[in-house]
Amino acid sequence: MDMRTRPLNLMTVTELEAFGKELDGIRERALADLGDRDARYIREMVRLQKQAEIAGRLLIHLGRSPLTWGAGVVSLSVSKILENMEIGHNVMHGQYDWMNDPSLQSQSYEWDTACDAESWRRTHNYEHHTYTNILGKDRDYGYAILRLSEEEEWKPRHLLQFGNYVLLSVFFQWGVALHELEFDKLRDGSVTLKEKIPFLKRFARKGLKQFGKDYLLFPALAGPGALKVAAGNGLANLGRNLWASTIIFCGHFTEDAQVFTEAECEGESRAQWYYRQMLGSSNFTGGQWLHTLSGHLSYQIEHHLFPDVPAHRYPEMSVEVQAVCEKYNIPYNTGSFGHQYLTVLKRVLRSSLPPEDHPLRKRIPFLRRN
Amino acid sequence: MTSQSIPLQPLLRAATRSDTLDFVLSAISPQFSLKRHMARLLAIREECPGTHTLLLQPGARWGGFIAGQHVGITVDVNGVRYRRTYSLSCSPQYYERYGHITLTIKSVADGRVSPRLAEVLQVGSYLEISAASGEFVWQEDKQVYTERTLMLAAGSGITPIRSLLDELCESRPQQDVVLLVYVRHAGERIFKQWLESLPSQFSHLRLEIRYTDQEGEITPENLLAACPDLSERELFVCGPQGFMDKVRQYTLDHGAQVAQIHQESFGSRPQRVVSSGPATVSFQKSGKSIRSTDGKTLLELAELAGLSPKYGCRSGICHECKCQRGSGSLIHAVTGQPIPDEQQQVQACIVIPDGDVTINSL
Ligand SMILES: Cc1cc2nc3c(=O)[nH]c(=O)nc-3n(C[C@H](O)[C@H](O)[C@H](O)COP(=O)(O)OP(=O)(O)OC[C@H]3O[C@@H](n4cnc5c(N)ncnc54)[C@H](O)[C@@H]3O)c2cc1C
Ligand code: FES
Repeated sequence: MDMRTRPLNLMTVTELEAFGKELDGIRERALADLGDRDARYIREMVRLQKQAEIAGRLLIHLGRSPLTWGAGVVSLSVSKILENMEIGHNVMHGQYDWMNDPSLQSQSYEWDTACDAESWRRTHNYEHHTYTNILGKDRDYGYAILRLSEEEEWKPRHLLQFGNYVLLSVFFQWGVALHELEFDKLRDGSVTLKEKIPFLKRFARKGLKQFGKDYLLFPALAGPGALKVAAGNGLANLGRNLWASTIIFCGHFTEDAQVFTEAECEGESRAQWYYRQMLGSSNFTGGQWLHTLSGHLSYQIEHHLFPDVPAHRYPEMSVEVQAVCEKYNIPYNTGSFGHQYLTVLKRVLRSSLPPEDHPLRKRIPFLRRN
Repeated sequence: MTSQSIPLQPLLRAATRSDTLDFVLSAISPQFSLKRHMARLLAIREECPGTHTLLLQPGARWGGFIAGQHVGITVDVNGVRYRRTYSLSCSPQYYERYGHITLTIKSVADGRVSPRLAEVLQVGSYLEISAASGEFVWQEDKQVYTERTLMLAAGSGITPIRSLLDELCESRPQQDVVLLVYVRHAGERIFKQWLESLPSQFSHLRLEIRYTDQEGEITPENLLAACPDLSERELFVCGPQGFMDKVRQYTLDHGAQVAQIHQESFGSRPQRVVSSGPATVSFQKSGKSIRSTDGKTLLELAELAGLSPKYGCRSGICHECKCQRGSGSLIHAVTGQPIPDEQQQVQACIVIPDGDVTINSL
């Protein structure tokens, strides 16, 4: 299938309205049922995460053999993944605000990553979730670094974008932290550095705090073992970065995930917004551990339809969502984790090449074959 | 590095603020928490149908209380966290002796917390309590009135009165006390045995229990008949708002001074303002206010009032517009459903004020 935008509204107005009502219904039923089960789930996750963090740091600090050190790194990395994905990301969406628990409030939560929570809430909760996959409006689309659709103009620098993709994954937390800087807009002059000073201050404050914790404070506490600790913390961060990046790329950049133009989405209704979220997102299947460690972003479609409903409910909601998809003949993009990720890699690679009609295609024999 | 050059103070301060440290300490014992006072629930006793006494053991760091004060407790009911205030129904001496405190809680019809307490609280579990506070206490400095006392309690309003009297009986059992207790009927009598034992503990105590189902509500006449010298006494009144308002009116009419009257209000059923015409939205932080009109959302009203609140999608997706409600009713603009009262953080872009509303954070 090609990656072009496809006409958005294939349903009649009445169909679209009924479709929107069905999704509203799924949402309302889930919200009406919120209670002890959800509270227990998220508190259990917090407990697990804290235990993994403590175990990880202790093993890294006190472990005598490479094996215990390695176990510590894995444990700390898992703790960071849980904190960022299943707890932080979901809490900041307001999924648990109804609990009135001050430690789980969306607007005051601060997470264990370089990205300042305030900045995240603006760029992710608002921009990405409102304008999902709209070219030029959703800045998460390729992070202004990667070309991921033939709708975007090809430039020679895209030839090397696979390298950029790997770099972005390795330094993912810093990429996300700097997202609000809008580097692309700074470059073309549509925003000035001066306008970005408040953001840069916040970025520096949070970035230094995170850096200080993992590479100064904890190593210093280890005395002669400082290097071992700094290296362990670095590896744990790397593990989290690669994991988060991979999961997130599987959510919107699989082969069949669609993109949209601004004009298409103008004045869109709630039902149309739902429709766009469905076409622009993709799920993957796997065991419970995979869902938990992905913060249930394995149910990216449900997450985009119901971003403020507790994520652990997505599996049960997806049954109803799939039924709606079938009824209205809307594709439901899912597949195994491995398969979905392969299509992401293919898409990154394929979009790095110039379009069919580009003169370069004819000149370079290797490209002609494609 | 010498020990002097290590910045111990800031490190310690940071440590006490650390969630992870608190997690470890709480795992050893909830009462080791540095951030919260956790009390162990030792027993739940039924005083009468619908009223229960909780026997609690606060941790060593909890600061104690003065007779007549109250504490806040934090309870989760079906996943939602509520904070409710309850008067201590024991004396400080009791706490000193046994290390325990008691709270006596009456179920309020259709209440979200009080009717469910006995069911959601597990004996042996821990409950977060706040430090004690409150002004409904013996006024030691105003010697003039402390010679004679009149106490009026209605319903669950007996709780702080019990604390005050238990203390008094240890320190000044010769004090002249008149205690008037109002309950609907005998089945709703709280602290039955305690009430029966009181007269034997004081040399000058007069106790009257009035059953309002038979004898009717309090009137100026029966109040004066029960205590003719009320204007010469220090008054402690606790009960439903309507009861306290009446007592205040009658005693002031009979020559009591405002300074003589001490009241503790447990809150009351709020009069829900049915929106007849435009109501006012007040923004506490900025001091601005605006009349709400034709179904405008809170976000639009705040902007009309000249504020520039944070927002993102303006359609309920992103939660960027969350603001803190002080009081008042709100309805959801899309579903038309009321926003539950306990929900303080609300999405300004999708709620519409229903009557007067105050917003704290704008
Ligand atoms: C200083 C102070 C001391 C208190 N001490 C005690 C005490 O010792 N024992 C005790 O049982 N309660 C006491 N209360 C009342 C208690 O804090 C709660 O308000 C009460 O338990 C109702 O909570 P709820 O969640 O069940 O009801 P909610 O769900 O909060 O309210 C349900 C309905 O009942 C109304 N309502 C709330 N409180 C009352 C009330 N007190 N009387 C009548 N209607 C009410 C509400 O307006 C609402 O309409 C005290 C309150 C204060 C402020
Ligand atoms: S502005 Fe996005 S939820 Fe209100």
